Amino acid sequence: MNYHELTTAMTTSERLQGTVDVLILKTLAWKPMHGYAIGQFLAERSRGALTVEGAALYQGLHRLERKGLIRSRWGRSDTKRRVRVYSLTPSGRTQLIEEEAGWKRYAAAVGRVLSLRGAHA
Amino acid sequence: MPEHIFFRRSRGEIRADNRAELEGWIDERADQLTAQGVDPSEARRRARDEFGDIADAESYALGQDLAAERRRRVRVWAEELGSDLRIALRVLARAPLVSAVVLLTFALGVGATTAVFSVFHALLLRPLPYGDEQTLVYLQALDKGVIGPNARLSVAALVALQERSTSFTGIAGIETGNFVISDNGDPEQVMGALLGGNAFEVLRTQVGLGRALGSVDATQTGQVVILSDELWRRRFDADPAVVGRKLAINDEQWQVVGVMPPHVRVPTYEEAQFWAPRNYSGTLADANARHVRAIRAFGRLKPGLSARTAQADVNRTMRALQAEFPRAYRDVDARVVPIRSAVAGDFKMRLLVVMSAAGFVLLIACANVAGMLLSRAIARRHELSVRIALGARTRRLVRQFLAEAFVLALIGVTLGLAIAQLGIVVLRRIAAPALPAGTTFALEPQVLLFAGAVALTSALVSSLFPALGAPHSGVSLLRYDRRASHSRGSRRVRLGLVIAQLAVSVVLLVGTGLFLRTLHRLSALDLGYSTKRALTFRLQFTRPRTNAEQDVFWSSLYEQLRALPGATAAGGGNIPLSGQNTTAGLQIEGRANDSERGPDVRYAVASPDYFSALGIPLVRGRTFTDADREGTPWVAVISAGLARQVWPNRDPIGVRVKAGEGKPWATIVGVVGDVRKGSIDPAQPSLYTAQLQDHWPGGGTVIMRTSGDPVALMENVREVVKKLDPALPVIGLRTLDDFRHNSPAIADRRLQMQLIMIFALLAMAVSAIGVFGVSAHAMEARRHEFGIRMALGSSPRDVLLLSLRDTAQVVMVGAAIGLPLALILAERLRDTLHVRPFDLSTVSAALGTVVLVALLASFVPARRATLIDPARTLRDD
Repeated sequence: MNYHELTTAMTTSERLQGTVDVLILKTLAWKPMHGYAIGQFLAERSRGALTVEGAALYQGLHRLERKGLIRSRWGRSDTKRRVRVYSLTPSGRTQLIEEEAGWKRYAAAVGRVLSLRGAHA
Repeated sequence: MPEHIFFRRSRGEIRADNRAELEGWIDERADQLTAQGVDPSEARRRARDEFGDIADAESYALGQDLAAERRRRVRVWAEELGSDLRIALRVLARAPLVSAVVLLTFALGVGATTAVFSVFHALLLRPLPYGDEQTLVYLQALDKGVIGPNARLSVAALVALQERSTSFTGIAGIETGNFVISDNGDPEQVMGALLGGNAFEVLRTQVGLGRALGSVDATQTGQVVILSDELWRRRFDADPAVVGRKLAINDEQWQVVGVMPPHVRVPTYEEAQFWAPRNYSGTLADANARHVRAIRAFGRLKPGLSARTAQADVNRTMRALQAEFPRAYRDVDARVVPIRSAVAGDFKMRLLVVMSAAGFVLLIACANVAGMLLSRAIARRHELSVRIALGARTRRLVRQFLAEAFVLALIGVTLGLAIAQLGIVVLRRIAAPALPAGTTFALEPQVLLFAGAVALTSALVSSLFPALGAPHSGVSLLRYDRRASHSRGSRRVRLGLVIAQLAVSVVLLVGTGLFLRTLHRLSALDLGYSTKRALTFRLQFTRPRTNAEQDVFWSSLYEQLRALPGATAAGGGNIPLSGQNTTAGLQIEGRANDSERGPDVRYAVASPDYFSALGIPLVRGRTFTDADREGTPWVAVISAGLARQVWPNRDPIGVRVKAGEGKPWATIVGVVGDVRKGSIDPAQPSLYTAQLQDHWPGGGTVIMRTSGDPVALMENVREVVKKLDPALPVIGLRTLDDFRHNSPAIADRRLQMQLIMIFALLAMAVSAIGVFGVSAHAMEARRHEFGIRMALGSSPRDVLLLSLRDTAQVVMVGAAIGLPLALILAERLRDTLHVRPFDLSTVSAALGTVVLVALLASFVPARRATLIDPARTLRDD
């Protein structure tokens, strides 16, 4: 699935899923993490602008694992809790590169439209 | 090995894992909140709230994980299957020669069965080219309760059945005749079918080109014609423009109105080359309408009626006819037979015999495969034990066996189909005369399916043996040492297999022997005439000839044939050889009246030289002379059997008889020896009349006896006929020996014998391989024992005898099982075999062959046993 299908031909919920997925992939590209840590990471890096609900994140992780884009193993968190740690698979990495490019093109296109002058009367 | 192979998670395990992940997630958030000073229970509540819909998230995750798990399992399964197949191939490749031989025998079994099945399928399973097979029946006429050569219906009986029976929507009559087609190439005699106007309707069959025959055609006999596909292709190059053309048939111009599709043939007259209408209305008034029986009838049952109901209906009609016309219908009955049995019925038993023989070969081959797998399984015990100890599941091991079976089946079916194709080509050559004309068989989809099923089943059954002896627990097996692997149990199974092989070989060999004896007896039976150094052929007039013309023709023909160098006699008539004899009720002067019919006699017309040409001995009186010609009082010659039957106590010479209405009384002037038509039929009482008095309009059969090789004269014979009448086809020119050995009774049995013999030889060869294998194996197992024996002073000869004695024991057991089985089966073939099932020479020959082959097969391994170096063997242990 490439980004254009994702943004043009999909329902809102699917588009949201797509957004969550790409955020997870990007996060895991830094290093393997468990679910809660991914949420924390997103909140910190977006300076609180992106808070993804735990349930959506949890679902996204299992979805990506089914697609073979990430894999999991049991590990320990910093707080020594037993947690499921996710990491990118090679195909996950490829997918991320594709989606990043798509997002950037999309964001630029939206930006171009919004920066048109004279539309406010 | 990838980690996922070890991790199979159940639904419950997945659920538990996800639950743990989720709880940890919430706990961590709660920890964080607690650290920020929130009350622990409040922190936990908030953490849950923040997380969102937990139940929804859990069920979504479970769905995703289950899907992932399923896909993983499929992938693992495929990977394992791949490795199973690789292992299976490696196992086979480990001893390539043995594998190749065993697989070849397996393929032979599959191929043989498949080839025979293709014929079975063609005759008994493939749909017939007539609409709705279930409601189409053949009204099989019975003559004195049996299906004899005279078992046909008369025109009157057909019409009565059509008018009186209520079970059919239609009954169609079909009869055949020989016709000469004389344009578009050399004159040629073909069989043509004459059908009632409703035949196409009753058979529900369609033409390929042109139109069908209908009631409009049935106002005439002949005149319009539908060609068979074969005739159309052979004589008209498949030219569609032939429809509408005129065609010279028996010197008349008939119009071609259609061409049949390739697979549609006249039922029970498969060799008929054309379909033409037959008008019954005029013939009904004829005096012969009730007496001449030439028709086969086919009925279309009314919807929902069973053959049984129809039979009761037909019986009622026949009873009524018998009451009204006792003389004409006394011996006539009709049986309602499903069309399939009518077309292929006779072949069922024969095919089953041959099919069983092929099946036996397959069985033996399976035993070899099982034997091979068994010894491999023993060799692999150690490997299997290790795998079990390492945690391989039984299911996985079973699948390993299945994969091996699959590989076997695949190789078996691939090679087997190649062999089957070869077999089919051979069968087409040798089986064609014994099958209905136009029977085609090939590797059709159903046949392929059969081959696949046979190969797979056989492979599964074969691999079941070693699986049965497979280790159940690894630990117990790890304790076994190498020598113990040749365990008593597995040896017993192998011995059992070899015994079964030998038993089956005995069955097939006895079968072959009985067929050989039967053939020998049939060929040696005295027919009443001599087949050595003689030629025969038939002539059929293409146009009606006057009596005078016929006399001139026959006289000059015989004269010119006799004049050929090397010819000693030439005569003719209408003959005991072909199936077409005429039967007539004999009338005896002073005795016959209408209520009492005289005996049925075979009635033939003969020329003066006929008896000497055929070598039929004269018993009393004289045969015909050239003076017995038109204008002189009729004379007759009878067979010795007829003389004994009718005039047991007096000399029949001088008595006047006649065969058939409208003929003059003929005085008996001589008695000749009895002749048999076929090899196994009893001699029929016969009456001969003189060819120059009793003219036979259609043509005749010629017999010529020679002093040298008759084949050398064949060309001269053709020339003589051509000189006399270039338009006459010479039909069926061959030696009498040839004629006899290709008579249906002999040809059929010879074919069965040949096939069974092929299968018996295959079986013997395959069994020999089995014996070889088991002996080699036993030798290997007893190497130690032999070593000790030799060290203790046994001579190599003692050791050799010891091994051969073992083989002899196995053969004896096999024979003890196979022989009674063979006799039971032979008993079931009583109708086909003309020797007693327990034929001492056959049985001893079969047993001798098995013993000899088995001993030879075990000789090589046994001999190797004698070459053991005792010192080395003992040191090895």
